[in-house]
Amino acid sequence: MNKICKSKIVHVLRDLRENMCVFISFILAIFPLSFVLNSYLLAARNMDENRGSENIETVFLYVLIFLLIGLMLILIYILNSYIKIKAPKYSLLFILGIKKKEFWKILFKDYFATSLLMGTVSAITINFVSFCMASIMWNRSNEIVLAHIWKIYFIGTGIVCFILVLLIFVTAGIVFYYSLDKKMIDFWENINKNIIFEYENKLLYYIKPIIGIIAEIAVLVFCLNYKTIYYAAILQVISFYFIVSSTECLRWISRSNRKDNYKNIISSHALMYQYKLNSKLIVVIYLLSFIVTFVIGGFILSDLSGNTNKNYYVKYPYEYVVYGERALNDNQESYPFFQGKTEEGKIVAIFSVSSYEKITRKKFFISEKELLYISQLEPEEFKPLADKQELKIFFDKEEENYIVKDSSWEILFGENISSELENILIINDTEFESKATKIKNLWFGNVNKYKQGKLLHVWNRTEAVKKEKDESSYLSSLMYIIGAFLILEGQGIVLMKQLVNHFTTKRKYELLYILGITKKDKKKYFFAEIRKIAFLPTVLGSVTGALLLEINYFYQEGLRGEVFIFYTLLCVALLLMQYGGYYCITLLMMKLYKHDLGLV
Amino acid sequence: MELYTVSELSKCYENWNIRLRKKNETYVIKNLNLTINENEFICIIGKSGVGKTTLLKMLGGIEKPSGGGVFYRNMELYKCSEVKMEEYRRKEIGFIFQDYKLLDEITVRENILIPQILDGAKREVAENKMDNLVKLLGIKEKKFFYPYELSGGEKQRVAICRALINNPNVILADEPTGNLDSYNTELILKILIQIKKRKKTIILVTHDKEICKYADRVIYL
Ligand SMILES: Nc1ncnc2c1ncn2[C@@H]1O[C@H](COP(=O)(O)OP(=O)(O)OP(=O)(O)O)[C@@H](O)[C@H]1O
Ligand SMILES: [Mg+2]
Repeated sequence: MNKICKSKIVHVLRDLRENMCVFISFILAIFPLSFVLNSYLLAARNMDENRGSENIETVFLYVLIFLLIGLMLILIYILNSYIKIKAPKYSLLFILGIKKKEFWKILFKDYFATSLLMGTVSAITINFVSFCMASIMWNRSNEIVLAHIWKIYFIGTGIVCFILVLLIFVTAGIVFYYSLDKKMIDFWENINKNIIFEYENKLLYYIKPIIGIIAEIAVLVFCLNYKTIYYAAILQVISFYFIVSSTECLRWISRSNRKDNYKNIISSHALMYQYKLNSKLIVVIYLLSFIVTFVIGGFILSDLSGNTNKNYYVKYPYEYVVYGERALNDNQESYPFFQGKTEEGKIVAIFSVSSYEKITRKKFFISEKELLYISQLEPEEFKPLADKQELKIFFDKEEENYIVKDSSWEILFGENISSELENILIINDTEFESKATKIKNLWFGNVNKYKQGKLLHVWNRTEAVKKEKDESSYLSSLMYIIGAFLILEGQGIVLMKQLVNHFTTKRKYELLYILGITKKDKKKYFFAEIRKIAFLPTVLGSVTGALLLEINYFYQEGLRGEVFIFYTLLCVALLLMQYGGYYCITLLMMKLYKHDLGLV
Repeated sequence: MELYTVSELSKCYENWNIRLRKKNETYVIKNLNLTINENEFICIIGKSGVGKTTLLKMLGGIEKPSGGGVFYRNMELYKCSEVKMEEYRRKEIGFIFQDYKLLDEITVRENILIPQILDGAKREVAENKMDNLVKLLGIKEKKFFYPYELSGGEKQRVAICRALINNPNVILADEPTGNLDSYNTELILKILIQIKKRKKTIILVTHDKEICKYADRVIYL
């Protein structure tokens, strides 16, 4: 019994070592999505409800969508290469005459079960790690609610595992489907060979680059209007994928410069072969650098151009805004108001016109059954009620129809200071007297005098501004770190490619070693390959991302020289850093491919 | 003049036996002494598994011996600098492998050109040499094929082209005619003899007694 157990463990361990490359690449693939997802879930919990959270939510949403596409592509790539490694063995099994039923069992055990097991194990571990990282970085609230933490953790793990399992099922299904109607031996024999002439169907051969070019034209059209620029961004990525993965296009390119091809035989050994083989990976590298420059760069850019010189004194005209049900017998001016509801359920604060005149220090006339609607939310979100002639307001017990005299965005007490004071209605004095129930008072005074009351709502400008600044620095540091992380992930993916293709690359460098390649040449060729496969798409992604973003900003806010120069410099610096990173990967891999004599 | 001097050469492979949980040491070649002169055509014959390929690899500078030494023109291989070894493999040796060792992802033409690129040759020169060789060995039509689209004999001829293109001083051939018909075998022998006339050395492993007739010396392992 004990012996059997031991041998089983040994067997599992040996299997694990064999599959280590795949395991590590799974981890590298899942990590970014998991990290950003956890950051998002935690940050969403930490963020203040009223301010800026919508902006950050859209940024996160875009990053997550892009990352999800990326994850799918990488996983398909990993699973594909996993199958390709095993293909010779399977074709041999069929040549030796295995029964189909037996083969399905082997395939299930070899591919499906192991990838599922490794996938879920790596998803769970990596989600735990990234969750810990994210919570150390982003959890600011002092009281940690354990239930909350567990909830977030399980949501994150659940989503990641679900995506992974789904993808494994889909790829297994694809393999099953393809191998159903074909002769098994042919299928497994050709899986490694037919990379260059993949399509039997000539139509598909040409349709891919055509789709890519049409999508590219659509991107240009979408760029003309700033509202559709986000569609342009997504389309750009898709068209890049189609163009890169279409062999025909690349073959055409490589045929046109066949003469210069001579020196590049080793390094790019037919660039198109590499591009075809790694098209999914290349798109992901492109995607990552695109996300960094377009989405995160966009956030940083808006942060730089918008919030730096925001005038808090315009936004918040009073140091204190206090309101509550307590009546006042003080000589300080106070403004009575009461609450109502609109048909849609929006809470409105109703003031009399005399209070409004006192606050704004201007004359205003309003007759009975008329009202003035004022919104104090952010100006971008204000929708005038011009098309609505009438507004039904529900009071405590009764309801009443009013004619909308005017609607405007105006700061009375301060932008966004409380949800109760977001929407304000001004009505006639007599109307106010007759409808008012549960009157509250509002005044702009030093709070200390009144603080004994429990039902007092106090808002202070100094505190609010400090909180707002805190929040915005929190968000921008979040974005900076996620950006840096995504850049690192780009490097990780290149490393992953090296791991997945370890066997073929090793074979090639063994041969070159036999043929007497010098150390310097070896490094040169290797780096040239990485430059073409990894750095070129990185540059392309950065450039297209930056271009789209700058077009977007040009439409929205006009050109602001210093911000753009800073942004461009940042992009260039990042590219240089990535270049250095790829060089480091080359050095690392050179260590791995360093041949001891007698390895061949 | 002596080209190779092999003294007390031995090679043993260590492998870990999982069943018995101990190291296995198998001696493939033990205390071999040998001299090979310049411009000699040598055949090596022996039973399968006796260590012919291993000997050839040790002569070619890609397998480190466990004991003894190999001297090439009074330079001891495996003891000199790595740069010299690289140069030795690149310039002096043309190796034809039993299992061809072609790269599947590039065409026949590119496979043949690799040694020239590594040597830093000009494109026109390299392409010229390649064209001549391909014509000579009768695989001109297959120039733009990928290795997996070739038959065994064709692959072998590609491997021979690759070994010859750098015009090496020594040709180490591991059963270069193993997969060929009698016509092509003769063709290759003719080529080898021509090469020998240009003051080159040929060391050839074979099972074919016919080939041994052309050799200056036959070594039985
Ligand atoms: N890397 C290795 N590790 C362990 N043993 C090896 C290794 N390479 C070769 N051997 C062993 O060395 C012995 C000689 O191998 P070699 O390839 O030199 O034989 P050979 O004479 O070329 O045979 P053949 O005529 O069949 O090609 C074989 O018994 C083989 O098992
Ligand atoms: Mg042999």
